[in-house]
Amino acid sequence: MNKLILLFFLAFFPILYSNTVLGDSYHDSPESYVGSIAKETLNALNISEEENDKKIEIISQIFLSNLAIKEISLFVLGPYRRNLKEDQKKEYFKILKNFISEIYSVRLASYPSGKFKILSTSDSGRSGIIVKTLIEFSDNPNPTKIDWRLIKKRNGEFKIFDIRVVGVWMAQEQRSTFTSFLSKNNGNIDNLIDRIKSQLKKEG
Amino acid sequence: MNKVIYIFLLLLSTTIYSYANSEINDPYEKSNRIIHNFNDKVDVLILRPVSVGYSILPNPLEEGISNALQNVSEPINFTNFVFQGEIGKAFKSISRFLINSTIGLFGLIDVAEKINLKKNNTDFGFTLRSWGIKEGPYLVVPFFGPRSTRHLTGSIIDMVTNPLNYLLKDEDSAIRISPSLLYAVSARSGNMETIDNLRETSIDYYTSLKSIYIQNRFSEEINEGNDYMLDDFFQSLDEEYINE
Repeated sequence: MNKLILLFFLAFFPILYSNTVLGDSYHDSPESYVGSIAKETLNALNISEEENDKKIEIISQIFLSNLAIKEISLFVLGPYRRNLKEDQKKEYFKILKNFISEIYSVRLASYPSGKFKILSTSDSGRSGIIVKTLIEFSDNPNPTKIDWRLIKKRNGEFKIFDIRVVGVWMAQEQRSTFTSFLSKNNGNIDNLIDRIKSQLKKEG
Repeated sequence: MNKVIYIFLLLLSTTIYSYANSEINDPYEKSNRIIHNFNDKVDVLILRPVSVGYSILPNPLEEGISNALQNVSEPINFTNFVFQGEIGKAFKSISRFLINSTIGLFGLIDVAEKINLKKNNTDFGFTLRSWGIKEGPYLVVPFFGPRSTRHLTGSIIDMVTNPLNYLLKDEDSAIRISPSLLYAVSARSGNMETIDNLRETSIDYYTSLKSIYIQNRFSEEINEGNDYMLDDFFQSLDEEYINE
């Protein structure tokens, strides 16, 4: 009997492990990971324009739990990453988390919902996995291409590092604006944190 | 005239985009920002309100106008694809123009798309690139917005050689410039929320527009440069994790 229990445990251990330790966010393939996020996002995009704040909030929550925040936060600093001091890290990561999820959700919330298709996946090695997708709309003949750059964490989980919408990589764009700001502020990260705070306040 | 050519050649002698470190060559940033602010005011005060009005038009009518404007640009695409040695694409462009101008009711309906002749736009800026001309610094042009020097040179040549100019040459100036104005309004209307969101959410709208322009215009080079840059980034991050 004990042997049976042991065999059962060994057979189902990977499934139990993935569901209990890694939670619902664990996916075997980049395609299934992107597919599940896209499904959740498209469901949120179905929410009517009158409830836009609710729509943005839901999309924001989807991104908060799926973005590789630490990696994005360091990437967007460009060469000024070295200026980030230990005592600034906690505040910077926290504020960036809010800022990035806010930007991604506000920008994506402007799209209507549609039909989602995975076009291709390519593994670029250390620089991540790119999943190319397409969203087709019922009332518009021009579909929108969305590319996802994913990274695989040490625990096997996928996280979103960057999203390209209408030909523009968002983290890349943030990197340009952040490094431009820092170059005009002697690389002072505190000034950047203040600027992001004021931007978040403006967005309410 | 020689001076003008000389200045353009001088401007084209440096590249806009250094692939290795993905920095953008913007030596005229100060004056560019002034023109950007002017363009932004024109957008907020004139172009955006007109585009909001335009977007009230029924979808099929908006789509018809957009198709007709695309159709008018096909002869320019054809000429440039020929200059670039892209004969297959040139053939597609001219086929699209002939089919849409006739069966597609003067371009209002994109019949060619339905028979798998998909639109593929190019311009003289890309032709200059295929001839090995360097990109030149980043510029912001009044009313036209972001342009590399090579792109600006190409736009001027495309404007001068546009067959529509010859067709409308005896008309009033208001009629002559109307296709360009309609194109601006149609494009702004089609990107209404994208531009509005960008203006609202960016910590530096000027740099965001520059990044978006560069990413769209040089997507192939950017992708390649991104991979190299990200390789370096993740490698250094790994080393930091190890050292932590």
